[in-house]
Amino acid sequence: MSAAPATPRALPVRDLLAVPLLGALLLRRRTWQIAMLVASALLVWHGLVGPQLAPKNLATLAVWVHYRGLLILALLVAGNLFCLACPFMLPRDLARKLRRPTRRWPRLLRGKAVGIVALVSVLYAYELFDLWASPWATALLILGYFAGATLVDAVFEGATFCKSICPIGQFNFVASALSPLEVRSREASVCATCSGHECLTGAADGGARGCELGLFVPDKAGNMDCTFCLDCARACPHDNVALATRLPGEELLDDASGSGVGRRSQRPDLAVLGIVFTFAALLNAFGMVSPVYALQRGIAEVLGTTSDAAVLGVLFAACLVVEPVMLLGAAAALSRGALTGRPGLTATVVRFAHGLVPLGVGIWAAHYGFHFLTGLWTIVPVTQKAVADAGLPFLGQPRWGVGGLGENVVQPIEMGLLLLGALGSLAVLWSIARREAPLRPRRAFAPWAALTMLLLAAAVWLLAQPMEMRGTFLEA
Amino acid sequence: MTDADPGSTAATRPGQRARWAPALAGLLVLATACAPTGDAGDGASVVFRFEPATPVVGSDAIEVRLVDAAGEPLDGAVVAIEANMNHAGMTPTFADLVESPSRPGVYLGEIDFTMGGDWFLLLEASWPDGRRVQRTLDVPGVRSR
Ligand code: SF4
Ligand code: SF4
Ligand SMILES: [Cu+2]
Repeated sequence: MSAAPATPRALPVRDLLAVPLLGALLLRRRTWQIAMLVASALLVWHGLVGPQLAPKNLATLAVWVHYRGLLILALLVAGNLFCLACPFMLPRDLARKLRRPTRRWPRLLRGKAVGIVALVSVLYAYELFDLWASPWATALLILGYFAGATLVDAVFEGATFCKSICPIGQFNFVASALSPLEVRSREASVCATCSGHECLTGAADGGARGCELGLFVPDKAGNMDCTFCLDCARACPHDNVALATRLPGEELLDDASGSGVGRRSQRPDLAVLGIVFTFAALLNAFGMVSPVYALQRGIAEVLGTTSDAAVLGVLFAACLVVEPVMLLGAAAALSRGALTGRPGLTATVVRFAHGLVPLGVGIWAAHYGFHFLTGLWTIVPVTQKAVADAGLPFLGQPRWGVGGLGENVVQPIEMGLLLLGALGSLAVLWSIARREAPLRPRRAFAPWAALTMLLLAAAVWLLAQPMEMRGTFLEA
Repeated sequence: MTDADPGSTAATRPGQRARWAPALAGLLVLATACAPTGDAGDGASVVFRFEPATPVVGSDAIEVRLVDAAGEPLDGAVVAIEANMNHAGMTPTFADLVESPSRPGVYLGEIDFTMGGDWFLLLEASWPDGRRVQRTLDVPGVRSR
């Protein structure tokens, strides 16, 4: 087994699991999960029986403003911490104590196809049912995640729900390519002489389980499919698993074959996931600025329909299928002539698509960061009120009227995130171009760079539009 | 999802908590969408309008008329409004309305809409004798400038 890092790293590597208190805290997954379970229970309860007014309800506020913001910020400054603390895994683990799953997830469905459909479905439902404005629907969504994880994993072995279905998981897997932390081995030589492979198969005494996502630590390349659950670290008898610092985006630069994932250039499903992730970032932001309503009315007129679902369907198809096919197809057509071996259009797209992910992360971070930062303190009075409603008035009188950071402060942060994302994309695309077209890297790079700048311009324009968050768009 | 014309009122009270099941909640959302003009059990009806009729981002003049079941104006109230967006996480704005000296039961003020989109107003009218009227008033589609 070769475990040498695929690219030389200039930054000194630190292992967070070796930091005294921090390492122990990170390894206490159950504690984090229980905390998240208690929080989810509070949100579901408030979503179902609390006031059905989004800004006054913990379900809508905590999920769509604070949780989404913290999720993407955690991915940017650390890693896939939400999956580490995922509460959906608790009832699922409990159910597995009662009944061991015996079936294998069908081979045909093993890629990301189902996960992509699930991710797009959640984003579609978000717009169609105005989940952001509906506490009880948000509560149902949370319950749906619990039920989905428990049912799927009661039937199928391994972490089928996480790896192949969970929309949050797919989002986190893509975004964590930009995380500065990665689970990897401490010493390659220790893995080389290891015969038990407990990080994959589980501890010999049956105590700690091995990687349920099928990742073998010494052969792992990047964060794709890794939930940061640290089962591997608990299972390894040689204490050889690290949560190590690395260059964010490093895994997008090379085309190393990673355990359980394979080579990116051989995984069209991963490319599609990255593309959907990036274009959905634009679409989700577009969903809340004023020009979208004019466009939706236009679509409705052309179709001669008054069905929100149909208009939204057309918008989704245009933004997540037609637009990427045209734009990436054009970039691939213009660049493939310069590539070694002149691969086909699809193969070219699959090789370069990951280069757009940093920009996608930048757009999601700018958008969710906006809501999180401008609404930062609004959680305080809503929690005070919810806890008081639950019969525990110890948090005092709700302080209505608190907000967050001013838009004049948040806007530069948003633009900074977009720019950083675009720079990251350009850097990754340049390294892909140098790899795929060593003789004419500039020719190969130029069309993709132009596409990045086009998407950046679209994102800047979108986030500079006046926000307009509306539930109904078809009535004038 | 729920939309009421400006000028009519939806009869959900913010503190009201009777939704024990999602299905019930769904029904309630439907029910509030077609609630008749504003009787929330207190016999009062609340009619409001903006100037301009479709409010625009910024400060908009609001006029609220309170009448009792018999159609008599409800005057002498202290009327306060908290304006919120339908989207969570937006800072609310507050307004105190003043009764028109010439038209009893009519209260005037300004609402500060900080962003385009769907808003709702939490209105509370209270009288020195302890009577209270509370309403949630939908203001869909505040226009961006
Ligand atoms: S992928 Fe798994 S761990 Fe991550 S959020 Fe989904 S269910 Fe939870
Ligand atoms: S490699 Fe597997 S076991 Fe280890 S943290 Fe990642 S998902 Fe968990
Ligand atoms: Cu938004």
